[in-house]
Amino acid sequence: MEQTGNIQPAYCRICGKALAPEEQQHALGTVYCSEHVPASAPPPNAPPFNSPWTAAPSAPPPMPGPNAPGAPSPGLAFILGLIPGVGAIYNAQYAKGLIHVVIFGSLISIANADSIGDMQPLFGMLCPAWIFYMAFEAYHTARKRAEGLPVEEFSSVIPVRSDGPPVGPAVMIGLGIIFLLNNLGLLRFSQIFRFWPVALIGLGIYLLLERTRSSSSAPEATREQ
Amino acid sequence: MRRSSVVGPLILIVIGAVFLMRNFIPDFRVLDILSDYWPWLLIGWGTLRVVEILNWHRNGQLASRGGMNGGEWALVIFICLFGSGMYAARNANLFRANGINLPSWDILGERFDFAVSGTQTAVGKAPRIVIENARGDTRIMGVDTEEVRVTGTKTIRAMTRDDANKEDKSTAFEIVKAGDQIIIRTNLERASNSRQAHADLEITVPKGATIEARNGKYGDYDIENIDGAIEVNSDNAGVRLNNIGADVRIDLRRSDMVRVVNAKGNVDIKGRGQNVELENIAGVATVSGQYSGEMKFRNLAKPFRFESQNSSLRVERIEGEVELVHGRLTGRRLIGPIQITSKSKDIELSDFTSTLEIDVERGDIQLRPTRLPLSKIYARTRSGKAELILPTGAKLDLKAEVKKGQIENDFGDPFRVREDGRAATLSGTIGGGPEVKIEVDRGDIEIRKWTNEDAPMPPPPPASPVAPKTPLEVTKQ
Amino acid sequence: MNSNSLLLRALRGPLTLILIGILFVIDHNGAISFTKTWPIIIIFLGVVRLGERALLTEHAPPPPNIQGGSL
Repeated sequence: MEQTGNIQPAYCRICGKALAPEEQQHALGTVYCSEHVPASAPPPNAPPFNSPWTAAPSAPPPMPGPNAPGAPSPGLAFILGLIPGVGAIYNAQYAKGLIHVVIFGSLISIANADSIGDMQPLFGMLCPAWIFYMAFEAYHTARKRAEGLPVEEFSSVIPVRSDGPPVGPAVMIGLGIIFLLNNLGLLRFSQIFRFWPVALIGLGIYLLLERTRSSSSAPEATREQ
Repeated sequence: MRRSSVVGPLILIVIGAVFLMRNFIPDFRVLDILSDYWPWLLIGWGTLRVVEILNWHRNGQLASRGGMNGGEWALVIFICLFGSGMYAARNANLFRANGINLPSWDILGERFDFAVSGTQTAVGKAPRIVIENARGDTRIMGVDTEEVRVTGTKTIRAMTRDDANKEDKSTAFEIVKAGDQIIIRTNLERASNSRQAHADLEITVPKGATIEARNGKYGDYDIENIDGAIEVNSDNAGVRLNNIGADVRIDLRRSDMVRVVNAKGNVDIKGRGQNVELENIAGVATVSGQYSGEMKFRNLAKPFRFESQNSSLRVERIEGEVELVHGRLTGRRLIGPIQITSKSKDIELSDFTSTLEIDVERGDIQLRPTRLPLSKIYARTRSGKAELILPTGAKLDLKAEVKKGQIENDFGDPFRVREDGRAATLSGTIGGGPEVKIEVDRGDIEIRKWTNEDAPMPPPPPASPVAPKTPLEVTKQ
Repeated sequence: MNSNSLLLRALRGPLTLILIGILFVIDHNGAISFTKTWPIIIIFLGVVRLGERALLTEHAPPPPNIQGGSL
């Protein structure tokens, strides 16, 4: 794509279509194509209501403004979110709700298991932590919906960057490998836990890199690619 | 333009149709097939979606989130949970006779009971009794008789009494004499839904009989007062034996309890289960396999051996008892030589004689020998605390080493602790007794005298507290 | 064009589904239990995301992002 002046070529946040500058619709801090720009009217060709079995993305039709009567209430979402799964269901994210329930149940089961022995307090603490996570996530998702932002099925409080080190995927791959090695008996957790200070060091390095990166101006950073 | 996927709704229809078929064609063993092959449903679904998405992509109709949506993932999760549940139920035989743990598959149909009985006369004083394919609880009692008598109840699930009667006829109970064997068969595997049928039997046999339970599917065995050998082989059984005159061999894939009390022969238990109890065994006893519950061994007159993935225990004789519970091995009144190895267990032994060898990777060790003279002891743990509590009058040549930790010498002279950086050693000899060696890689060692607070044993000399300075002395200063 | 990235993103779900199915088939055929192999799913998702990012930044600067992400 050619660069025209100082406006970068942009891609619709929803459908990814490359947009020439005149096609770009700016809204809510990012770029959309004319089809997907969020507005009070539903985008063209959207299904009239949100049923789980149509494969249209499960974002509910854009809500009226935050204080209008039909809007999802973030406060209510928070309270409902304290009940496992219900917060996500309130936001019409059914699969996420189910996963929340499964994780909640699993945490409690693990916390009660004998085999973890001394780590029981850890999993015991994770249970209330998870309850609050569910509540806050429901709250944030409801707020986004109230502002008319479309919301993915598996949206999360944790933001993900596309620049800089790929933390999300790296963490996933790393954790996955650690668990797999433990399960297969090749490299047990106990042998790995001895290196916990490395995690501390890693975190420090990551933050360092982050600070030095953001201290250079943002456009420069993106143009590096 | 956004397109809707066909596949999600398709899967739903297929599942619905399959279940519908089951309700109308009772012979179509849908659930058996489903519980084994349901993952292929997921693979097929995924493949269809991949093809669909590639197709859309080629036609330029790809929506931004053309992948799976929330409802589809919910369906996937349900399929996974139910699928693995069905698979586990089928293959691990969660279907117990009386207590079905999962909702019964037949929405329609009820249980019908049939009486079962059979007798075989003139079998002699020591017949060989074989019970095949047991599905249900079996109680066997040895009495003074020369015939084998069976009574019991068979329960069959069917839609109507006629169907049940048909099933009953096709699974006729048999007790046959074949050579020197008396074979008892419930033939329930012939039932069209054999998983729902079970038969509880009560059998009286001559006292001198030998009993063999072969290919049991599920159901407990309660056997009492038999002079002959007992052999039980089952996929899922609780076994309780009392008063057996000869050898006992038990091999179970799954069990909640194995208990053998008063056996005159050798006892060999292997497989997987939860609890194991052996008491008053006159012969050699061996227990091997994976047991997730409590294990208690009391009064075993001959050498006993226990082997599992995590630990192994060998002891010459158990006069008192050994308990293995939740990562902890406690032993009281044991006659050695004793050998214990484990990846992870706390060991607590008191009152043991003859040589002792313990090698543990992770775990605390507490040794309280009370009978004198002491014998050779070697105790090692890679990570944990080691405690040696010595009675008065003990004679030994003690050497304790810790690589990263401390040694606490509450015993006093003649033991001396020498510290060397993070390591420490303690050594000393009393009366030139046998060698006692304690090694700890990461942890602490404590050597102390036996006191009244420990388990009941010979009284120690009371430790006289140091008297505080009397006022008289103080004023003298 | 980052239609490849979009394609990968859309394929993410179904491919994961196939992976789950395969892991359960392996479990049912007695080789390795699913309770041991499940981390492969997480590794796979991480790799796919890396792939998406790689495809995304191949030809053009990445689009500005607000939030989005995965559970």
